[in-house]
Amino acid sequence: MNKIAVITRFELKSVFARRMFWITTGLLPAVGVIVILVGRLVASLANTEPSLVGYVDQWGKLPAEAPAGLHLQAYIDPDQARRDLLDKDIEAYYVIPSDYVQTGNILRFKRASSGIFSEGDGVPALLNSLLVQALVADQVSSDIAARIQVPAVIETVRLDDQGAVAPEDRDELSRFLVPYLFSILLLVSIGMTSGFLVQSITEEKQTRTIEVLFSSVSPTTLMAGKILGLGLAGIVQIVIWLVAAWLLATLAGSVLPLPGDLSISPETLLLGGLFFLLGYFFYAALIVGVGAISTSPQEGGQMGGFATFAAALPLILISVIINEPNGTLARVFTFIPFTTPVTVMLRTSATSVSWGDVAGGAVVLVAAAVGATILSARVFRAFLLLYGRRPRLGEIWRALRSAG
Amino acid sequence: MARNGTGDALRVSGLFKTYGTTRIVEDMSFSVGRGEVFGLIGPNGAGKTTTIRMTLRIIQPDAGDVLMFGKPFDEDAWSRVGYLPEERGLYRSARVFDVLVYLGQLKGLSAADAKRRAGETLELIGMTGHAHKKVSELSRGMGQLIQFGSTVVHNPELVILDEPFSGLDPVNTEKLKELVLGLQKQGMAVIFSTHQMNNVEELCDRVLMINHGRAVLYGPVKEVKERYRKNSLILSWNGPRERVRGVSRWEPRGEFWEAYLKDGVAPESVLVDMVQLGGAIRHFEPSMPTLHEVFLRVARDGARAP
Repeated sequence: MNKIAVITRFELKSVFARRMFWITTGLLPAVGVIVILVGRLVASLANTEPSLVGYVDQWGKLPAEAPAGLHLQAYIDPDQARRDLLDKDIEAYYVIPSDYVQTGNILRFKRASSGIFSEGDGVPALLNSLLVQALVADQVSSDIAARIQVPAVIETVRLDDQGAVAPEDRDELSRFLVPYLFSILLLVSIGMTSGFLVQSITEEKQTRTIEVLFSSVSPTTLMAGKILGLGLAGIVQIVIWLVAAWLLATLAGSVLPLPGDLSISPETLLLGGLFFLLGYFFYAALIVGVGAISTSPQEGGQMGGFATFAAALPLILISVIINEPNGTLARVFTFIPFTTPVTVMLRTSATSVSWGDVAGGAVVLVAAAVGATILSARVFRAFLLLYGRRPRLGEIWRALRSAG
Repeated sequence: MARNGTGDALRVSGLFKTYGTTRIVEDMSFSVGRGEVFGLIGPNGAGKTTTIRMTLRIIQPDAGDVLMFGKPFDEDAWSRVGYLPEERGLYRSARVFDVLVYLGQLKGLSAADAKRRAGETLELIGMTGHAHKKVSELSRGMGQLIQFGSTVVHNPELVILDEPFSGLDPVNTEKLKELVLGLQKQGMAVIFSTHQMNNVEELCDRVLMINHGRAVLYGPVKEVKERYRKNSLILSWNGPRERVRGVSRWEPRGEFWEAYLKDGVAPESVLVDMVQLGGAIRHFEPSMPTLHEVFLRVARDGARAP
């Protein structure tokens, strides 16, 4: 145990000493800052403040005074509207001719020098609404007039699997957000850690340090120390990104919900945390084996990429899983260790999943993590001392079958 | 730490290892005493490294037993052994001192002891000034010495050095030999595995010669050489060679002559003849084969260790 802690500390320290680690860690927040700055620049260029638009009603059905606060200005005198346009008091004005009902034509006046982002390239929604109201006012009842304006106000009733009305979920956002967050975190962790692990293992192989280590610790101890140390490094990186994202969102004046606003049930947190950890250990153990048979960090990284793809498969098929969270595909994915973590998180976010499925998925994942650790330790032991060439499939098979 | 205790540092009995259909090591047995410098010799590919790896449980033997300090091998034994592999290297981006501390801790030292021993080890190998350099900044020779330092940083009782002189210049080779002899004086047992047999003759008490995975010679260096001694003398003498009795032929050996004696002729009788014949005798010694010559003879004859 003490040696595992020594290896964990050394690996963590080695990663933190790499300039590349801090460059990649700082890159994402830097991109975020650039996006925000560019966004602000574009917004200032676009002048997104709603522009005042005028109308001259020769049809005689629109209100003589535009409703207050709607950035609309009614004119009786077209010359006055023209003067205001040229004086830039208004961005554009519309003339609704007396034969509007017969032709549907409306004249729009705007300055030739108007910017590309200027108002008035279509009939503004508010003017449109006034026109519709005026068109139907004398034809239908006020209720129907209101329905023409707003044809439907949708109210959702949620039914559970038994057809009963499900209780209203006021924390829908947090209910989905947390499993999504855990899924994304898991994928990013796997991606990050596979890179660190493969680099660490192949470096020890290339520099021939590995045999010195094997004369001091068992392959399993070395694996455990690496998985913990490099996993922690990956988590540190993710935490930095999350904090940066939160700060950037706040800086950008985003309306993104902050964790304090989320109501996360202990059950969701527990499941998310459990499947995150189990999934991480399963994949990390596999990646160690991959690193052992790789001849270079590049080759190892490519093979590690397949693992990330397998973990992401449920997210790729998210529409199927969310639409049928207790369907065949979702249930099958629950019991395949490669797809278990993300599938369970997505299913539990979409519906109530039987405890049998959740427990079964956890058992499968634990068994797979233990199995992957044992098999990877065999591959690790057999091929880390094989320098300069990749083992043949037959050799890998024999190593997997060896007693360890 | 117990030094110069009784019993063997290492006892290996009947080790076998086969990869696929190729037998790499066959029925290997030997022992190394505490405080002894032991040579494991043989050509490249003879099975020396595989034998070492099996003794340290880096790879599993197919059969056979390994007793380390009188006990079956367990993880505790690792902390009492230092191993310098043939294929060796260190973390290139790490600092020398940090590497020594880390490897010391993996051998069971506490953080404080590992730091203290790392300092002492750097002093021992004369590299204190390089403690905070990155490994990648060192020359090849310096790197080799640091490797050696990492092997002994935890003050082991048994040190196994696999081809320790490969890649070393003559100056560093001599330095490493001095360090090894220093370790022996402290009571460490040392196993030298090498195909450079001249170094073994100089340093080792006993040898095990391996060829094609099998032990072909085993015993004290002097005894082994004596066993394969030719009946000849190396001489430097300016007297009349043709008049010496009991010599079947003379062959030049640089500035010397090698006199091959007839069966049953003792060196002493040749010396008496030479004195009686007159002339200056500057050199007179019974010819002993080098280990290299012994190995060639053994390999040719296909012998097995007794």
